[in-house]
Amino acid sequence: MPDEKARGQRVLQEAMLASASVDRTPRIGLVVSSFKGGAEHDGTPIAGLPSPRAVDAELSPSEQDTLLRKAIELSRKGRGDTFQIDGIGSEDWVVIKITGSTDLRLVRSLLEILATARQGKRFTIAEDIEAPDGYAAMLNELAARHRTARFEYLNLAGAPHLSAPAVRRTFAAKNPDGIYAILKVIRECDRIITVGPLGVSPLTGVALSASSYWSIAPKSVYGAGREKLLALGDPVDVLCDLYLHHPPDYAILGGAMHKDGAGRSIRHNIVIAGRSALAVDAVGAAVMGFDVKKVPLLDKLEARGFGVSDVDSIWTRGNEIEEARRPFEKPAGWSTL
Amino acid sequence: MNRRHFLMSTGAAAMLQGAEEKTRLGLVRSTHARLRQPAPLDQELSDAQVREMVFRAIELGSPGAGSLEAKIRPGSWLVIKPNIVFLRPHPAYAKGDITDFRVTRAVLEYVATRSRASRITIAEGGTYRRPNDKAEDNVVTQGGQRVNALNFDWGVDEFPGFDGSLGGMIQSFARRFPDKKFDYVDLSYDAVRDPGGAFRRIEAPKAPNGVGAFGDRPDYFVTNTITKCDFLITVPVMKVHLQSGITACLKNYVGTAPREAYSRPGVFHNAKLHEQHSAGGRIDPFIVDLASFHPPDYCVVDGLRGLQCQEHSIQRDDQTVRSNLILAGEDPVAADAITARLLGFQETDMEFLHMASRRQMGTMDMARIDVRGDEPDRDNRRWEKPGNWYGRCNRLWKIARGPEWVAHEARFDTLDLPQATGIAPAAGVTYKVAAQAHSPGHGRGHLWMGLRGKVVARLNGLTVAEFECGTRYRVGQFQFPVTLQPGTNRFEFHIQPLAGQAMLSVLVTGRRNDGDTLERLRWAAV
Repeated sequence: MPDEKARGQRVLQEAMLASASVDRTPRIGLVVSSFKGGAEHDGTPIAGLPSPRAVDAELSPSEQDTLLRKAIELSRKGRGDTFQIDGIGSEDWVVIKITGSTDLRLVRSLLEILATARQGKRFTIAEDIEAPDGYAAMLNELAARHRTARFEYLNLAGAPHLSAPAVRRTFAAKNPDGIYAILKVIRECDRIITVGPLGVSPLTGVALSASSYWSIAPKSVYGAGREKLLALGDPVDVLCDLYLHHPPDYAILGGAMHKDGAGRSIRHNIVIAGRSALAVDAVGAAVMGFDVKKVPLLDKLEARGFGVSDVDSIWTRGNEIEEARRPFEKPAGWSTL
Repeated sequence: MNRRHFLMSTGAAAMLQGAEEKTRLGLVRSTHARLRQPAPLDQELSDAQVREMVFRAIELGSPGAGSLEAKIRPGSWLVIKPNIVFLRPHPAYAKGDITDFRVTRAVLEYVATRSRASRITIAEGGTYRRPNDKAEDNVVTQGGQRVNALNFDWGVDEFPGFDGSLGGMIQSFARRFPDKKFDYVDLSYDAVRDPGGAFRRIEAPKAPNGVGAFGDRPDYFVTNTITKCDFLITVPVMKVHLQSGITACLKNYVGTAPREAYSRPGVFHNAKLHEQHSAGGRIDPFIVDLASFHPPDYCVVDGLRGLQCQEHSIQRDDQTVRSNLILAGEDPVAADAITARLLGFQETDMEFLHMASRRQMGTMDMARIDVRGDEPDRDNRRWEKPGNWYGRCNRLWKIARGPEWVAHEARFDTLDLPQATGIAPAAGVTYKVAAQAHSPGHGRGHLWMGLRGKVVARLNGLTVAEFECGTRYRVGQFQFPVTLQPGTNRFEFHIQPLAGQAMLSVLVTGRRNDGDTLERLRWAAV
């Protein structure tokens, strides 16, 4: 892009032509269960789902799997015969960071995709709760089918941790050294994929991929409500610091059920997926009806170099945000944030 | 390291040891008391202030010959090598990415006015095509014209007090000093060729002690200018570097590798240099090998502003760090060692400094470095390290062969056990290796291990870790809190192979656990 630089009386236009610069535009797959197809910016058609359903319909596991695969496919940069997620190697140790309300069917499909494509050798599903119902059986089933890979569930509540500085400059005002107690698994694994539903939070407005990082700080150090962690500064700054330790390598938002600010369950069949977790969260926030520019967490993550949160600078493929939108009741006190 | 420790490890310690000859460096901050116009460290400086800082640092960092000008023989061809890797339109350019042109100009003025060199060349090879190159990639234009480092107009804002282009600066010196020749060489297009015109490889010369190339491939494409000039002054900007930790005097030599020989079509970058000459997963070998073709005769480090986190822009406003300092001296290893400290690293964690020391390019021993002017341990801030940063791992191993322990020095960070022992990684095999670290006191730190296999790790007889890893091998992947005792600490590792592989790397980081080796911890032969 030419850039005009004024210098005294001279104004020269500067440019670098055909450099080997990388296309930094994040590519995000956004698909709701009613997706019947669309088109690329250049008019190339994008095939729709084989059997589109209403966004509030109850989907079968196979329909849910198809939805996830479509979103992942649309988030990819390259094309190939093998269905896979960009950036995961065959020997990687992959942590799937879930939340207590992550849709189990999404996790199952994701693991099946990764294991079949031989992307990853060890898979650890992690959250600071006992394994929710269905996980143990699913892991046994996967282990029986994919014998060269290791599948496990890790309850972060009892997992070992160590002191470590965020690898970059930290932001929490009352933690100038930037040292945090962080779960070892987060530092040691090769890749992190976050999987969670759409949600809101009174602390940070939205509760999406980034909010999943609260649980990498052990309660055994910071208290049952992580009150010692929250005492370190503004929640958004503290969450940014935690996020710095190992931002997601891939993020998936969606599933069938979500919760709004009034605590109501919302059925909305959607999957948003991509390598830029910030862009995924920005699209998720927009889908929930937030003005993304007014969500401090997303704004600060962008300012701190984690990517872009401006939805106009994100390449969403599949549905348009407007097509996927399902306004959520905002958390109490949000208007004052 | 606190001030007392620093002084003990540098000047004061050496004074106590006697009058051993030391290498001299000059360090001048903008707050230096003897400057005409001292300025705060975070203030933009005028050209006059920068000039005075450069002159003062060179005077303080006088070489063994007595002065920089005394070291330059009359009639010499003198080359000044700044870092101009990018021009402003490059998407990864940010302020602090390249050497400040005011620093380059002050060095040029110093040698033009005080030395009897007959030809002075500014030489650099960066990511931009020369105007008559027919390739269409990596072309920089300004005002519709194709430009390179010579004629790119930087305007008045980029380096306040420097207005215009490198070419304009060279012309003004040519007018001012008509008895000398001033020119510019684009090193990207200056490869040594054979009589038939083909690029010619030359083996990295051996040091006087017989140490040769470190790179996987020992013969390099190099340039006429670097190999033939009489006197070479490296003028880098100090920055954090993603792969080598820091970039300053020695890393500046990567810009001397001719891109016409090392780039791939469509990408004007030394991709083949990395492919052919990296070793042990590191770029340090070819940094030192390239420098060996003509080690710096003098160094002036631009520490006015640089980039933290990594060496090029990551589009963050806080990446540029202002330090307002100039460091100068004839010993590039010492200059880079002090630069490492200024950036918050430890010199002993820099692989390329160990290699350069082995080639006798200089000293990284702080007790043998005399820093004059300002104190290097004062007014420093912590620069952000790369996300994947780790210091140099232990190399001095003892390997059990039956009842005997045999000394083994690993070439790089990772110890490949089947290769090091000659024992195939069959079922039932357990490799036993040991390492010894000296700690000056009780030290809390973290044991960082890269592993392929199944390990039991013991420190002073106590088990500190027991686990297995069959996934991707990565140096520093597994981390365990450890407490070291004063004096000798013995680490012992028993490793069983997994899937026919057994690999290990070990370092001990400090309490901060940021990848730097625990301060003053030294590995030693067991």
